[in-house]
Amino acid sequence: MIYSLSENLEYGSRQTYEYHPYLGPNFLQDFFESRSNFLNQCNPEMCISSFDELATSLSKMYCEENNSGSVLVVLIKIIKELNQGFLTENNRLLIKAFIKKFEVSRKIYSIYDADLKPDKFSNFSDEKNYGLLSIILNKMYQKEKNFQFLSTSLKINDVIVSNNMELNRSNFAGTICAMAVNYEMTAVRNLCEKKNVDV
Amino acid sequence: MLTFSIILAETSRSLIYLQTLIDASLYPEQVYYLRNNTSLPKMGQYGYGSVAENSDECVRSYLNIKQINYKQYDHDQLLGDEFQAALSACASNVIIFSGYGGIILPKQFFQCKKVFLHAHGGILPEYKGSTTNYYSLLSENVIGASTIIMTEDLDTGPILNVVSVKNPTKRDELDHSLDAQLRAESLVKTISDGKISGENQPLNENSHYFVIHPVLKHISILQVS
Repeated sequence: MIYSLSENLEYGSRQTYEYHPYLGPNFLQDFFESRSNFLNQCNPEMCISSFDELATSLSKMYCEENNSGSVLVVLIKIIKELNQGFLTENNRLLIKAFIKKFEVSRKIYSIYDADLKPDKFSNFSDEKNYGLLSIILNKMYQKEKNFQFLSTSLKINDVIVSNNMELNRSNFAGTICAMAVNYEMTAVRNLCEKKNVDV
Repeated sequence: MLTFSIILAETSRSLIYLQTLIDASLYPEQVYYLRNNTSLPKMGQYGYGSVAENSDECVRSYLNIKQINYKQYDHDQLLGDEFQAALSACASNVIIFSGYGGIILPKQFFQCKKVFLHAHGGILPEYKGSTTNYYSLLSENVIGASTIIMTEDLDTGPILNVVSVKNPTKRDELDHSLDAQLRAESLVKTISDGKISGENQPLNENSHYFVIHPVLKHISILQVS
């Protein structure tokens, strides 16, 4: 087992990706195996099959949420926009800001103030926020083919998979996280195919 | 051709810079050698130990063989008055900075009235940030290096020279030797051209990259064009 990047990563813990050595094609095979193991433990009845279904489910479940500092509310708004085929400039900037926040701290807090400083009383262990941001970044990658989006999505999913044992796969958070990993695996598989990389 | 001095570290990158410059008959007026007296990682420490583990001896041996005088400082003197004074008194107006990975030039350096050159691993202005050659490999099957004048903001100073290689071979050596060789080549061209002015790079948040995920790094190396 070469793929160890999703081991022992509690929410907010620091995984260093710098100077990761090249380990040959087996590294990719082990990556897929690790992610498949995660998905095999998910409840298939809780599966969300499309982005449209996700946007609809989120609208129904969180229609009352209106806290402007809530990351969950912002992410749901972005998903709705993307599902309707557009993205406001403000939300594009927010996606960039969330990438930077996660890349620097490996955390996504539940609440940020207007200057995007985390609310010190909020937590950073809401799986939904990690899963939804990962899905958004994957969607952005598909749309713009900017590999930064896919790279950060992969890192977020390392955190999700690492928290394997704590994640309840029968609840909505678990379903979102499974969708995030599913999306990512499809994107990576398609990329391998496009680049003639045999996995 | 410009006259120049150089700040070197105990890294294989510094060694490659030095060798490439000397091979091109470009001799620095002054060498400032930063000894690693802390726990700073040496370039290539992760997975390429055999190349990097003796870089200290290699850099100094090479300087001695080529009979190039150098002034030695400990890395933690970088912020000290003595080193600042030495740079201010340096005869060269242009100084190449090749420090340790992840260490940026302290702000007070810019008070020395010198032009500090940095060779960025990647094609500017499109690819700012870290591990950008892997991103450009995936997007355009190209790698490169860019020499810039250092400013207080990272990777934003005027671009003096860009070298690039389409469909490169030996991609698995990119982290270590290939990247350093491209950077050194870009520096050689800059010094040989003798031009040290240019326009500041446009601010573009879209072009800043964070360290690439290892899965994408592997695909960029394994891809078949």
